[in-house]
Amino acid sequence: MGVGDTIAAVATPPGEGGIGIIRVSGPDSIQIVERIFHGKKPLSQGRNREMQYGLIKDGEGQAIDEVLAVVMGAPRSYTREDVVEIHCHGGMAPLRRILELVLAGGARLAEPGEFTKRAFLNGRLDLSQAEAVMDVIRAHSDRGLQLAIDQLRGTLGRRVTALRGDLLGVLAELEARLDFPEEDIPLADRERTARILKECAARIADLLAGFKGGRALREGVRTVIVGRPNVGKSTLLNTLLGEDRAIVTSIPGTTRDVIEEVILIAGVPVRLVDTAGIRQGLDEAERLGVERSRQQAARADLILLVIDGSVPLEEEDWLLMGEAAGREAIVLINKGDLPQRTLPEDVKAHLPCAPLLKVSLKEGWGLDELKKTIYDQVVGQGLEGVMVANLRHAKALEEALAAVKGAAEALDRGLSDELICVDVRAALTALGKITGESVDGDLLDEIFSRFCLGK
Amino acid sequence: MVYDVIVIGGGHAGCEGALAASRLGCRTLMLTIKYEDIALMPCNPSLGGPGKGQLIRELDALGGEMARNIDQEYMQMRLLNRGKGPAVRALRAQADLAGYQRRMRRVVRSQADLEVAEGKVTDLYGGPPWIVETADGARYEGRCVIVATGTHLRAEIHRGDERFAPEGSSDLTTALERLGLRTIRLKTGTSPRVDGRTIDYSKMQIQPGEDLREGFSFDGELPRKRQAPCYLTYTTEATEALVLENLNRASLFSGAIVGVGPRYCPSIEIKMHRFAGRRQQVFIEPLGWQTPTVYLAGVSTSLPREIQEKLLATIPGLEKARITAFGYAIEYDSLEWGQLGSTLQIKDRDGLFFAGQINGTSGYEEAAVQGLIAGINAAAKVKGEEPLILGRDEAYIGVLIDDLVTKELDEPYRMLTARVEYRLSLRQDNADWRLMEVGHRRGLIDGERLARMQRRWEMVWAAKEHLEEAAVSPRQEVQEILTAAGTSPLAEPATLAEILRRQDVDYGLIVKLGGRPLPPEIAALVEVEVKYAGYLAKEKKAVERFRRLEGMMLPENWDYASITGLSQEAKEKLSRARPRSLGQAARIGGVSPADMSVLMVALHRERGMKS
Ligand SMILES: Cc1cc2nc3c(=O)[nH]c(=O)nc-3n(C[C@H](O)[C@H](O)[C@H](O)COP(=O)(O)OP(=O)(O)OC[C@H]3O[C@@H](n4cnc5c(N)ncnc54)[C@H](O)[C@@H]3O)c2cc1C
Ligand SMILES: Nc1nc2c(ncn2[C@@H]2O[C@H](COP(=O)(O)OP(=O)(O)OP(=O)(O)O)[C@@H](O)[C@H]2O)c(=O)[nH]1
Ligand SMILES: [Mg+2]
Repeated sequence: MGVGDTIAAVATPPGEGGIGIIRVSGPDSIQIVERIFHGKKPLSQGRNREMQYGLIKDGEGQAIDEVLAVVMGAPRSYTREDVVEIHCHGGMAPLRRILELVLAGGARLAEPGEFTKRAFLNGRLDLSQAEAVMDVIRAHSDRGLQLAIDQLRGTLGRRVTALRGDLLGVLAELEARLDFPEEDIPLADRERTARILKECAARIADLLAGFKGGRALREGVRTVIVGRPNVGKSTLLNTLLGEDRAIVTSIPGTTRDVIEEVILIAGVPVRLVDTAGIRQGLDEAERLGVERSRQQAARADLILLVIDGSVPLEEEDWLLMGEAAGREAIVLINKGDLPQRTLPEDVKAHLPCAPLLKVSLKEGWGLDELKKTIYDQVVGQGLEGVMVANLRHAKALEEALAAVKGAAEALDRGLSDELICVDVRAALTALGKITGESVDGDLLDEIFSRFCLGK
Repeated sequence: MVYDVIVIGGGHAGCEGALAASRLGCRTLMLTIKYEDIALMPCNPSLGGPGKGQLIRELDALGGEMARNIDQEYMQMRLLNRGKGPAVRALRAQADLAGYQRRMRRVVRSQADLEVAEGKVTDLYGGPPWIVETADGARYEGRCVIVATGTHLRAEIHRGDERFAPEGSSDLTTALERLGLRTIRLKTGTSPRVDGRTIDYSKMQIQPGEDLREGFSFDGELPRKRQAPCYLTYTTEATEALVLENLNRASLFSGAIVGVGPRYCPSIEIKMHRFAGRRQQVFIEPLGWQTPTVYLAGVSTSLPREIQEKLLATIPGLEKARITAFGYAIEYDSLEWGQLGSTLQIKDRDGLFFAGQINGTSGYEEAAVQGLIAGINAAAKVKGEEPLILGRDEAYIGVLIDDLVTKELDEPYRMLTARVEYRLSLRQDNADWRLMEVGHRRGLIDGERLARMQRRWEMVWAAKEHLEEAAVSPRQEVQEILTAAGTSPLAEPATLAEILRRQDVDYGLIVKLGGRPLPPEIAALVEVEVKYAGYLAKEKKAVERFRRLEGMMLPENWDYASITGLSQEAKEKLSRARPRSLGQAARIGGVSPADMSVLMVALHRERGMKS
């Protein structure tokens, strides 16, 4: 019943201590992990269910993390197959890297609820538990679905949709000519098609580069601090960092350039970016600084909007709130030690979705709450899911890339249209795994909306 | 007496269904409103083309009649997509309509075990046995019934504000409703016919036929015939202005029609409306040797008569053309999605089969193959044999029927090669290899035909093997042969197969390098199998993956609503479609991968409880 290959997934994302578990199940699980695990003895020679200490190394011999690995031989495991668990403690980035290595070694990313499904199909759970298994699958997939949908709202979604559109156009032209040879369709301009295909390949490669190693995980979740001048942005950076990295003065407009630093919150890297205060009517140099701030905000995974609570809201505050609306954002009302002139309700009314915190950076209160909120925003809402979604997407993009290249090559070799279609179609199918769309219906729509066909 | 099979309808579906059932030894009755309707082509008199050509070849390999009939009665034959690869090349024929119908009538009327009668069916009930009653009071009883009434159910013809019902079958629709069957409205249209003697062909492009050796049937060579040309002309700016000016007078735009028409067969109104500023092709196709009437393909219309006349006057060569039959749009009932099973039997209606346009398809070939499958499966039912269900990986026919079962139609369904996943493997040139053995096992292909097919393909496989083993080295004479043929010389020793894989090398050159001389049609097959070996291997892998889920059968009357974990949409769709296998379930819109996992678990529980 589809059981037979080897699957892998993050079983537990890193918690407070940063320990996370990767589970691998299936006939090749031991062999796959053994190739990357370097302990006192080979993994397969350890005792069943005994924790073994070692290093995970990549293909170049580079150590990724110190881990504990444990083998649970079939049938005495959760799935009744050979299972290996890798416990690592380096946080999300190494966890993901190790999962990538396991997948590169021949495992397949598990579907939602698949371990449980296997446990059931292999007779580990009895028939009466089938209902529960189905619920698990549903729940996992609903959560995955929501994540996937969230992700597609962003740039990835837009770029994949655009790619899909271009490839669908290429396919529609080729297919229309195959199915309607007697029609007046202008002859396929092979050079143009080749150009589009090459361009698509470059765009996919570009997307893929962004994925490799998980940009967010390696570089940290991009968290950009924005606000009017003098609200305490640089102070915030210094406080979270625990050292005086940015210059703090009481003169508005102190920070002119962007400053970046990475901090760890419960094992998850967060890249903090301090920016110049936003205001209008400035000299050339300041305007440039403000422009850079805006660019940073546009690229942010998370926006930290700082507001000075000791003065009434100003026009720039309203503008910034407008920009933060609809994005991942946290609002900080700072200077809580001073008499307050800005009410949280005023802000809440404007930005109902973003978490709102009152802090005093000077007196140092509200900071733990802030760290927890940042963690919840980027991690708590399922970085594990994001990571898995990312991996799936990266795999799909790799497939798409290979297929588009195949099509371009077939075109170069002068192969006929129906062969080029094979690869273009494969590319579309791969991209469809990201967007959840199938080729067929859309293809016919595309053909008939582009060309006037039929007698 | 009780018939084994009663076929209602003598169109392409009805004829193939009746022939298949009777040839399989069933006592069969075919009812048609009029004898003249038998094998009628109400639209353009042409068969084949991409997708459809493959269907006819497959039908022939399974023992159908259409291929043989058209090979005898063609007026013109051409091979389309010649410039492209063999997987999408397709024969297209113009039929001598009268001759085509005459021969088919002769075949059905001389077929043993097949009775043909005129009679308009007004009621259908019981089941099984099924009772069929006609307008003139006759009453027949049959173990199985094949409904193949085409566009006749509650048909309504539209032209401008004219509206009339052709010799219809609204009684039969009512009977079907009483059986609990649901229908939807679809529409299609046709072009005016004109008197060919009033056309000025000098203003048109001529399209002659080609002298081909192979026809649609695998049964021997195509008889050589005198061929009639088609002609091509174009609409003008004046056509567009006229049509757009009168758009609201077309039934299609005036709101008179609710049925959905096919996008691949748009009326001239739609073409002008949606693709303004472009001239459109108009093909002049002869209807037969004995008639001066010709068909104008490309100007399907529901405009009023006087506008149709004015319209032709705007087209070069048709200025003085006299219309002998006006174009019209027709709306009709067809079966709603979710009721038809993969055998073409209605689910839960033992022995009641549906075939042809009534199932929502459009086209003669689409109708014919369904008729054949329904006939085979009705016979199987009578004899207590396994039904014949072809997979999407086996035949275009399989794709067509699977689509009818899994996809909710929103327009009449036409076969397109774009719908076929394994297009490179399912070629018209290998339909015999793919299906003739099936036809033989069923009893529609005799041993001699089968043996001929096997000999043909043994030659192909032997030649292919030879090419893969025979190597040549970069000797001077080899290099000279290659360079002279315009391809690059060898850098190292290569097998003949490797050389043949080059785009610019054909089998002729391979013979010069030491390959075995072969008859041209065998050489062509070898070339395909060798040249596309890489792609074919890829497809084969995909097919293997595909088959895993196809092989997991689902219980026939499963209560999907009670399966926890399925999404609401999946529950609804699955309850209606009741797929045969997990694979088929996956193709139903709205069934997600998670739903598939849930189904797998539920299936396992189901089996576990049974054992
Ligand atoms: C106006 C028009 C335009 C078309 N245009 C196109 C086109 O552009 N392209 C295309 O591919 N296809 C077109 N088609 C479709 C094509 O003609 C059909 O798909 C094909 O002929 C259907 O075959 P069939 O066997 O299902 O039905 P038909 O060929 O329609 O045969 C129906 C048979 O059923 C019989 N019948 C009906 N009711 C009864 C009854 N109550 N009792 C007994 N016998 C009955 C009739 O006498 C007839 O013999 C068009 C059809 C029409 C009518
Ligand atoms: N009372 C009080 N003062 C604070 C607090 N946080 C920061 N300040 C002061 O506010 C002033 C501005 O702080 P910065 O961190 O430089 O402000 P900034 O937003 O980076 O300013 P620009 O770089 O000029 O845009 C400094 O004098 C800080 O000491 C706070 O919580 N309470
Ligand atoms: Mg600053």
